[in-house]
Amino acid sequence: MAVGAAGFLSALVTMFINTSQEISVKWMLLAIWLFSTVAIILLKLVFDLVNEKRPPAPYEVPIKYLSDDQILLIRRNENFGNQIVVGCYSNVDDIERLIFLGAVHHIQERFIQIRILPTSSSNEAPINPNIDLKTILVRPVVPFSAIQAQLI
Amino acid sequence: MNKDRYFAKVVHVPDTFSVVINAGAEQDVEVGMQFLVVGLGDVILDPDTGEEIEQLEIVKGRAQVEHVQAKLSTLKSIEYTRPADTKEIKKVTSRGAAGLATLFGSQDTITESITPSQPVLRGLNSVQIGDLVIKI
Repeated sequence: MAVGAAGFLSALVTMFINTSQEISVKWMLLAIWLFSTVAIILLKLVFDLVNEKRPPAPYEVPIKYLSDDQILLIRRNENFGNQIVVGCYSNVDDIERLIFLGAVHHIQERFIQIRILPTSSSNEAPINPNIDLKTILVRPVVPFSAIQAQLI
Repeated sequence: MNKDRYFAKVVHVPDTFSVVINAGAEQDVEVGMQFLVVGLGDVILDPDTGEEIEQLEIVKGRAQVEHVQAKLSTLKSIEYTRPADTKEIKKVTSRGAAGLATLFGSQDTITESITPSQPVLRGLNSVQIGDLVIKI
């Protein structure tokens, strides 16, 4: 297949260019310089596009739950600033439901500690220690009604 | 231990509200500087890959420099807790003249007063020698 492709390209080239003709080294150097300049510019563009900073994800899935301290660990994300209130949603069959509120307790280099806020109605842990953490989404947004309910 | 992140180590715990760290004027510590006191916990693993992510920092509290020596500084907690407000309900039963009391019965007056609580300095949570401080 490669031999066929090479033959096809060779045929195309010889249709328009006389390969036995001699060319000046000056023109060949110019052609090489132009080709390499264009190639370097295109490579730089590709490199910049690959390294373009992507916006942080709008939510994080917890990686661990520390039941003794009522703390959820999530990966570090620039959307989660220190001391902000966050919402923890259960995500079952793509239906999200707010299950409790939390607050950014401590930001480490690689992950963030979210302290679960006690609900006004109960002092019990709002999260089952055996829950599948992959069904929880932590978002840096909270419905206003949830904050009102928390304050009452 | 990440020396860029951790400024110094706790070397003495005089009481639950104060700690002494092994950094002082020689390390440019000044009165009023604030630090986060943390202890190091378990190494957290990535649940998907099993790769080590980072060691858990257990926050013991926030403290401010009160006294600086050449190689030591004394920090005191700056976190406060606010106990619940005190609600007082008083019921006063007033009895008028004998004739009127018989006619209208006794009059009860109920007064409610709420006394706001004062903030109480919170101690550093189970701080111990070897804990680390992060400059904030």
